[in-house]
Amino acid sequence: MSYNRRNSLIFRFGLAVFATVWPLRWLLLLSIPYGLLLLWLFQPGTVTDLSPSRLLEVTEDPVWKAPDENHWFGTTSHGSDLFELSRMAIGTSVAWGITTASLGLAAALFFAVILAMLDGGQKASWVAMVERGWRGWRLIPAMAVLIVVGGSGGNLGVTLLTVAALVALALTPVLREWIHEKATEEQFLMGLAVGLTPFQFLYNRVLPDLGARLLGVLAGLIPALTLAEMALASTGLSGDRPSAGVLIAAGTRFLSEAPWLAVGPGALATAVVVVLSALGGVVQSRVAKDRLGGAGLPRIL
Amino acid sequence: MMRFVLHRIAVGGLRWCGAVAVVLVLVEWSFAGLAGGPHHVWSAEAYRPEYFGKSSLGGAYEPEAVTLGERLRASTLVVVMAAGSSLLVAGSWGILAARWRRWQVRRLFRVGFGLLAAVPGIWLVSLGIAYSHVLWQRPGFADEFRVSSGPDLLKWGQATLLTLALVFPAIAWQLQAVARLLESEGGKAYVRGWDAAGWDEETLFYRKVLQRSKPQLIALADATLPFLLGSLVPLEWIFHYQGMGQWLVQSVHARNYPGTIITLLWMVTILALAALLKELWQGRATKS
Repeated sequence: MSYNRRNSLIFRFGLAVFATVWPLRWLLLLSIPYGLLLLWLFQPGTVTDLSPSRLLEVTEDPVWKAPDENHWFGTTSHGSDLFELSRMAIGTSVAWGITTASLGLAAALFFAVILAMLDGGQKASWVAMVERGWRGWRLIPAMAVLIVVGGSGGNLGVTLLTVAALVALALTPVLREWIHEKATEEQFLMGLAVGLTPFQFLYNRVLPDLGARLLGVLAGLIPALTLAEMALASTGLSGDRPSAGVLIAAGTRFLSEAPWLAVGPGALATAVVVVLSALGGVVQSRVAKDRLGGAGLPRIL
Repeated sequence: MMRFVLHRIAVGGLRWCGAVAVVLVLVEWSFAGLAGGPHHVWSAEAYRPEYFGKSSLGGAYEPEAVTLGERLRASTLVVVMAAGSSLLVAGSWGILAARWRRWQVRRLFRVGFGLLAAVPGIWLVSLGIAYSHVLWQRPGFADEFRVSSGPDLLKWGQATLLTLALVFPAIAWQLQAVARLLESEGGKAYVRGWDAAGWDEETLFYRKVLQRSKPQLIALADATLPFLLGSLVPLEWIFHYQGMGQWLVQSVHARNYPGTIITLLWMVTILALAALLKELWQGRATKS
């Protein structure tokens, strides 16, 4: 019996997978509650027509019901289950948050890599100037969303792209700094000296290290943007699509007659945002603790 | 010193002009471009006198005609109260958290304020219920109640409620930032050197660490202002608080040029003034 025999291909492959996955065990574990929460939020419901203008209109003789064991949050004036409606509306807000955060982060990474390739490891003066200008005037873009969204009549595409552009504007300097940390001018020149192209250098050396940090940023952005969507929707500028903000704002009009219309969606929205924030916080701290390059996540989070 | 002050004022003025240009371009692009409105930012027709100072729209509760001055005073009061209390509470508690870092007080404070900050829905609903449902059987702030004589406690009460809803997230963030800054300063090599030289921990913290971090601490003074102004808009709208934020949303709904531009300029001016004051204070602290 030979003890010197080489391990099988399957065994070696399994070992390689284990070695890759083991440092990420906490993140994988955390993906379970994330997955469960999102699965619950995104599963189809019994309410089919989700147009807020129809669901929230108040008839002369509303058939709303106070919360009971069948309808935990009560019902709307048309008799739709408010818990189900709130879940689906919050699902829409969270989906919006995830899409915008991903789009914004992808755009930020794209621009940061372009900037890094253009200035070759040393920050150009115009980049520094743009960053200073951006830090000084963060409010104008935030208000720009309101104007642009109002002008477009709450168009989903315009809203998504505007907010994603703002996220990209805010994050590009941060990602640019991180690329600087991983690729100093000397390292970059050495890379070029051994025959690497700037793209190969970024792809092989910088981007793998940035991956975990980006995960932490994404986890922090999702609850923040979900909350921003709710705030935007509460002003009635998000068009005719369901959102937790629309439900809360509409419910406050009937606090005397049917207080559950505001309390139910408000409580559920709060719970979901708190859970997403807590999970985001845990992801960020794990990313930092596991030395995955997560220390020093941007201050905006 | 006078040269520095004049320089900062000039830079502040340039920033303000830049911001005004951005606002005008955005309004033109959105209202005339995206929405296809008949007027442009430069058309005199877009600035009819009846748009100034009074709200041209009505929601579920038709707001009483409110002058621009009243709106300005109402919103500025909330912003000053929120920014002031955030600065005071976060500054003092942040210093305390850094001083007691060995007991992880920063995390404790963060959890407390973070929980209060993370529940805007509950705040909105519970404050709305407590204030308007129980007292007036009306949602939001009832418009017809006016204080005719004596101190206007009603106005202060409404402003305080909005401030409460605004201030907790700002405190949570600023407290964390102050404590982190001081903790990182406290971990520097010179502090270990003074410690080895036999300095008392408390004296070292207050005399050296705090003093040396003063310019960076001042830099954090206006950091929450964009958040406070941005959050004021939906809060005023939901609470039917007759301030600049409510007028901005009404104006955007109605594509009202003067309303949109004036409210945005108000925000830009507050930010510019805060940045100017911060820079002057910072310059003085650095010099001293």
